[in-house]
Amino acid sequence: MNETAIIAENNISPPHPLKEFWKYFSENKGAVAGLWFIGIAILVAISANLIAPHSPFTQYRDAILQPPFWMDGGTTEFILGTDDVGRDILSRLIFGARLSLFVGVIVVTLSLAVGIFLGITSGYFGGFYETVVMRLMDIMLALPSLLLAMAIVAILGPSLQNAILAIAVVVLPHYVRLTRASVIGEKSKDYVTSSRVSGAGPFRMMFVVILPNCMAPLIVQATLGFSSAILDAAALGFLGMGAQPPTPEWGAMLANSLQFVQRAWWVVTFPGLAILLTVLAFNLAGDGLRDALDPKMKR
Amino acid sequence: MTKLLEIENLSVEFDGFKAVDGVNLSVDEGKVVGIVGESGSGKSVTQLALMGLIPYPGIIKADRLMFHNSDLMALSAKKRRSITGKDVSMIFQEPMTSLNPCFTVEYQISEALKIHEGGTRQERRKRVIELLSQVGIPAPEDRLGTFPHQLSGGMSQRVMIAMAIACSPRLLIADEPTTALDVTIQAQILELIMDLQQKKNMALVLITHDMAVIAETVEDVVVMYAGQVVEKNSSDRIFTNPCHPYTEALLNALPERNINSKRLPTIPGLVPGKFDRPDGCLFHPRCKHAKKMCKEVVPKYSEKNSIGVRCHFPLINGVPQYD
Amino acid sequence: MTDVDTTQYPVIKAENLKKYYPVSQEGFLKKPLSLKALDGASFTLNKGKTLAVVGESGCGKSTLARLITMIESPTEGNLHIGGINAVGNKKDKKILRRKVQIVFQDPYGSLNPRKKVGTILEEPLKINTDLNASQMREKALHIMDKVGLSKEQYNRYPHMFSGGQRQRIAVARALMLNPDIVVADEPVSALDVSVQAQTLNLLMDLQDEMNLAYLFISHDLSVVRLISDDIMVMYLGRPVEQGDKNVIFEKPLHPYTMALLAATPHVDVKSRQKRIRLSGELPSPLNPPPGCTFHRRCAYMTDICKHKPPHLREVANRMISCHNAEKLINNSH
Repeated sequence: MNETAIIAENNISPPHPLKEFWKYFSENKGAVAGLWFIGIAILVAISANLIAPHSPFTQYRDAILQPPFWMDGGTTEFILGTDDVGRDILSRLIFGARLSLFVGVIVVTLSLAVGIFLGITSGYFGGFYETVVMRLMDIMLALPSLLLAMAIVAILGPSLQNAILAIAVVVLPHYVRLTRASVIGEKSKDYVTSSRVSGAGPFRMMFVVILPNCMAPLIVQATLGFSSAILDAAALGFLGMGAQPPTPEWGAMLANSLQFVQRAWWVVTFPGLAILLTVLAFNLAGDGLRDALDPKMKR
Repeated sequence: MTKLLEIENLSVEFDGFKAVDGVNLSVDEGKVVGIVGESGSGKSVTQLALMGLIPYPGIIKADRLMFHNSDLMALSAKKRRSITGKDVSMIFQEPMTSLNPCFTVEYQISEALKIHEGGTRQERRKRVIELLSQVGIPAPEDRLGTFPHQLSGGMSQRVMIAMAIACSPRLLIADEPTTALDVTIQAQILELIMDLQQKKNMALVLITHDMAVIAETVEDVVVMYAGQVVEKNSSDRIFTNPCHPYTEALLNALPERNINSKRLPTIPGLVPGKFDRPDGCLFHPRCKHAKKMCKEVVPKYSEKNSIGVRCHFPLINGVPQYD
Repeated sequence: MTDVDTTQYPVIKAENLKKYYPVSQEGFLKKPLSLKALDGASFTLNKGKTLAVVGESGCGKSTLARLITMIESPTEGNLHIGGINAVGNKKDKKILRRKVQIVFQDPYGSLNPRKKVGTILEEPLKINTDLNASQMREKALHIMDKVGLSKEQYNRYPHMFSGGQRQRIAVARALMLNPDIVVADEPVSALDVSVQAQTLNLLMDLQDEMNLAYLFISHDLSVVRLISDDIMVMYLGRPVEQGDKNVIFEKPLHPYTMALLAATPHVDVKSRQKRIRLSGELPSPLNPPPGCTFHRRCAYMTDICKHKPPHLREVANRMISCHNAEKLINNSH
């Protein structure tokens, strides 16, 4: 087989998939900025013990509602000022980042895992099982998500764990539907059939053969889901149904300081800004991911 | 015979990769030219460049791009569209995706009529029925309200052809018009296209990868390889006495020429891609007649006695002419 | 059954294979129709031989491929693979699976884009054998060498390959379990002429070397003429003419076979045949015409064709399903 030997020599080597991905991702400046912000937020959250100037719980009774350092009456000891019981806002924000990211990670992992399982099984097996799962998801989608989350928390009792659980349940249908749709699309492709001819069982078919090809839209949805999880957690915290005081959670910080909006704007503004920026960063990065992973957008 | 289309030294570049490289092509009024080549040979890109349909970041360069006495390179995009839209039509490979699934057959055909010919609704409807019967669709009155998904592949292609000839174009470009169809339907559609070409005296450019289709339909053949025209010849001569080694090798690899042998002669290697374009003649790594010169010097495209070839040592009766 | 000496049997023996799919109709309470995708196909395929299945889209050739590869089970009929019953036989499923493999038409859709070539090739071994990682790797490299891929390509992803090379990978995957039969579903119709020649040569080389039997599905008669030993021409789910390649190509008797041959374009003038133009299109398999399903497009149609469906019978060394076969022997075509 002489001719085949020659064919083997001619190796066209396009760039590695990861390199190519980065090329497309880095074209989107907003996405890169978002990624940077997320990276910094993660670093801050991890090293909160080291970089926070104060404990988030210590109450400095002599410095209640002290403004940020650049204003009259502010000191560099409390860079972003203090709240109504004299706790350092910067330290609370730093520890809050830890909590918010933790909420995001847990919610996304939980809903992604369950969503992928339900979506892939219903897409692969179809039939009555699929109908039951999908109608259940439709019912969940028909209810306003925050209301549903509140109902769940009300039943389970207000705490951070229950809030996380409630949010995970509420966002579940998105993952199920997305997974099922891509599984159905992939299922009819030839490579799946050829694995079946090789005798692959249903478990292998679903999780080893099909799933990796459905991951691109799920990764994007998960990134965007991160931000909505943080937002929902903040909302539940704001309503007093999430993290309980004195836990430094951004939403709860916002809620507890509402009455000082007129007198001490910093108490409200900084947690609000933190939520805004984090959510924005995740959304931007998610958009960038979608563009980079979507083959239709590639030129 | 007046020249309808004249292309000289056309190049299309994407990100530094020349998809089309120095292509010369001319089509006379009412003539049929076939362009044959493998995938990636630039045969479709050439026609898209002509229609001004090259997407960003493609760059078109040409010494001359004339269509019926107007210089397409000098015209504004709008002017160009009005010429190419009316006088040049295209038929694509996938009839199922070239028709818009949201609109009826009548709507889609009369759309083109409305833009270029005007007329009242009744006139247009009459014209649509006339066109549908011209392309051999039985009971055209009943087909006006059908949607593309209700048609078979062959029928959709007929509708595409009806759309293409709606404005009586001077030039019809058919890009792999039968590749997606079954053999018996392919025969019907080819017959229809050739028949309409004769009746309407249109010029036709038939682009395909199928040598046999070319052999049975066209008068002049252009063979493309890696973005270049390597041979231009009449169909009487090219299939019996090809001048370029690539044409020869391609013809030898056809199963129908090797019915009784157990192995097919092949062309070693692959068509050069973006990352492995050779120096000298682009075909030399795969050419069995290649000499040292072929590796170093880029051959020029030269035309003699209406036979064009891009080779240092063109074949005569299968023998390369080294001198 | 498992210890039967399988060499004495034909690798495939199919008897009257049928596959009907239920199709729900518009309207409530209407009975679902059955779509007769395959309506009675019988053939035997011996070791080292190639049977070509020829026909246009919707003729049932892909359904036949799905039945032979046991992706689906037939509605009716018998299928023996290497002498072992393959219908409703759960016990021998594992053995049967290893005997039949498939190569698809589209080299871009048939390889898992997220897996490396090595992983793709080793998958069948992982499922069906107890080999350890290094043994699997050795076997994969051995087969890769056989189909003309180099060792370095073991760790690459499918998108780094051209169409022809991908088809080589697909062939390699089919060979991993040393099958007796490879079902090739239009394996070269998506490839360019020069690559097509390389792939056909590869298939023929491998057949000689490994004594493979091919069920070669194709619409391209020139390819079929080159590679096959026997031919089965199908129309609307039924074989209309089947037999030895040379017999059929020299003198096709069924009007549909004649039309197919005549419609195939040729480069060389001498191999061209007088055009027999088939009017009309393939009828819907949901509602096939009465009598002979081909009669509305047939140039030799007589009265009997409209009412009585013809049966497959032997005429002039081949099986044919046409009422007028005897008359057509003396026809000038």
